[in-house]
Amino acid sequence: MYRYDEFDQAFVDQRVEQFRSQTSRRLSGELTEEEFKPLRLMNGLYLQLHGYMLRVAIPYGTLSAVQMRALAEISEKYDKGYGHFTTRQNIQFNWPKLEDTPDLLADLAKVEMHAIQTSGNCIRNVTADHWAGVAADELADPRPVAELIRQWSSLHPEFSFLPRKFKVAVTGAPADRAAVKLHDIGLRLHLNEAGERGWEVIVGGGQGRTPMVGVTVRDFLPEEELLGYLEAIMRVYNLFGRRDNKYKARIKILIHETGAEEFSRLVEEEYARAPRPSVEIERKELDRISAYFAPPAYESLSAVEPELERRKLEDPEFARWVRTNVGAHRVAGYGIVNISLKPIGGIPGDATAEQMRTIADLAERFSHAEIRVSHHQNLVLPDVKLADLYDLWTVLAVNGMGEANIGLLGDIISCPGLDYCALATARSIPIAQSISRQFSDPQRLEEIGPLRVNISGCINACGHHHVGHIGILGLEKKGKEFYQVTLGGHSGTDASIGGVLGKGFSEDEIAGAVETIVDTYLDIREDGESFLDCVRRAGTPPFKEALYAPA
Amino acid sequence: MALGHVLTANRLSDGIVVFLTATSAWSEKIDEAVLAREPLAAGALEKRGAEFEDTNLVTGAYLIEAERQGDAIVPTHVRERIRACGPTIAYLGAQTPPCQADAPAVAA
Ligand code: HEM
Ligand code: SF4
Repeated sequence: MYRYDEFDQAFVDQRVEQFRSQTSRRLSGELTEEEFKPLRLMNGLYLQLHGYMLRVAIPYGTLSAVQMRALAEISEKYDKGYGHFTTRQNIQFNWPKLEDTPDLLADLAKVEMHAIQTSGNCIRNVTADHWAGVAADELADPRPVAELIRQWSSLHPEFSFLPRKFKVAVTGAPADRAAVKLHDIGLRLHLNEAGERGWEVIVGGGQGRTPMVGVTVRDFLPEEELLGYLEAIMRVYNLFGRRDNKYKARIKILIHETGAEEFSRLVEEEYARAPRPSVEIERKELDRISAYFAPPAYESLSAVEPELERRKLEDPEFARWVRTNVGAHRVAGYGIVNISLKPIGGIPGDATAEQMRTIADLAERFSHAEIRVSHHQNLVLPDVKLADLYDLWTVLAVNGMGEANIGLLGDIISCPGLDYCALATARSIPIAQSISRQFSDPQRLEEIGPLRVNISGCINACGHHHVGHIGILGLEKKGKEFYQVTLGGHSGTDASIGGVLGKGFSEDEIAGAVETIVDTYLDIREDGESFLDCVRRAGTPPFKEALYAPA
Repeated sequence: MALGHVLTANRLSDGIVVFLTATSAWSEKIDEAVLAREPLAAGALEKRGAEFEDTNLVTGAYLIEAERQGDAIVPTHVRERIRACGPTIAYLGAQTPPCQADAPAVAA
């Protein structure tokens, strides 16, 4: 894992003290709310429906057991004993007090964490494939590049006041688990015939009120040229991105309005013109950073673990969990454990302090003390020996984290919605809960197969509803909540935006509507056809008919 | 029907949702709020809110429409009911003070 150097630490500490002084000036009245608001937002502190909310960055979703334990402690000391892991691989605390926040930030800084650039029109936390460094299909760990971009973009003076927020995602694998086509910039690694690394640069993806799939502007950008090229993109955006209308200010709108070709031409022109960081320096820096991500010392193990096979035969529930929650590791004898934060009827992405501590303990015991946060709002222990899976699962199960539903219908993404969020038009968590209860039979979930239900509480789409296989958007009319359903969205390599089915549903109807959609799928699916493939083949008519045709 | 307006804000120090009472105090319980029945009275509430903002006790004061139902005061809009009563889902730790205007139970 990356560790702060003395400059990183000094800067973060300094920033905490700065905020301490700003906060005390606000509390004494020296600063007005108007003056203070941008300052607190620069430090990740929002004012939400019930109080302040602090968003803490988890760079590319990787954290250590020590950091997880610190988050647990913070949630107890300054909050109500829980936190919410988000689709941006961050964690949010829902109840911190303003007067406590400087101390909270100081506690975070002790474990090399902060909340800087988790808000505002800057380059936000860089997200990455949550299986980075361990996935069987991966070409190389994308996190050194993510860290390079993090360092470059942190407090970058030129890019601290962009037209709008800016989100970057990276993946080193052909199977896209990081939704790279749905970010302002997505980077996907390729190797050429000589085995050299190059990055596919995808620009202009995004969700929100105008969802778009990004376009590739470079197929194979040599790794050493990355920062120079990103800088050119940022300059073009900074210069031409609209500032007159906040809803048209994202880079996707610029690309849409100028056309991808013209945008690309502008970037290439800027790239050719501008002085850029030297290729050698970037290589050296990347090598320095990469050392932090060196793989742990793996044991040489057999790919088949007899003890695991015996346990699976003995305990079908365990066998199911292994099937659904354990991913293929690139090293024989190891597995990637995906911990579901989606218990039946629970709150997607929420973890209690106790659960965070349990995860930290398990990471230390079984996974080189490293943890990942996935954009599906789950946690990952990346390096678990197959022989340890049973012991690990036993502890997870007694702590409410043993659900076997990763990638299945129970693994619902949901934003906080109107239960917490000041921008929401409707609640989303209760909808997730009712659907999750409706589909509580794990055997049925497996029969249905991969199916992503994503729920947002408003058009901002923090819950990724546009790319849910079934997407649910909470809206409001005359003070009453209702829910619009989309079908066919997807955030993988072949990303697509879902299409609206028709008239919305009430809170009481929505789980039933999902049931009808699923039944229709089971009815019409061809042999081995996944839900998404079925929707792509058959289109929406059969589903519309089932939902809306008069009985 | 006793429809009117209540003044709400967030307490500056901890962000908690509060409501202005008849004695010009801020309560976490909406049922203790003063309900202004006429526009003039509502305007007066707003003015008092601005004064409290100036002295930095609260922030973001605004009027919400609400109705008296027995001992309870129930906001018209679902957003304000949730704001008054806390998340509608089970959550850990100290809860928002008991609230009769339970958000999902009341149809708008
Ligand atoms: C509670 C406070 C939050 C606020 C005020 C907020 C605000 C917003 C806004 C205004 C947008 C739309 C941006 C645009 O279209 O230009 C947005 C998008 C987004 N937010 Fe949030 N959000 C919040 C919480 C969250 C949470 C909890 C998550 C993760 C679960 C999240 C993840 C995202 C993602 C993934 C997008 C869409 C990606 C994109 O920017 O295109 N946000 N948010
Ligand atoms: S989608 Fe809307 S309701 Fe949900 S967290 Fe984002 S801004 Fe809030």
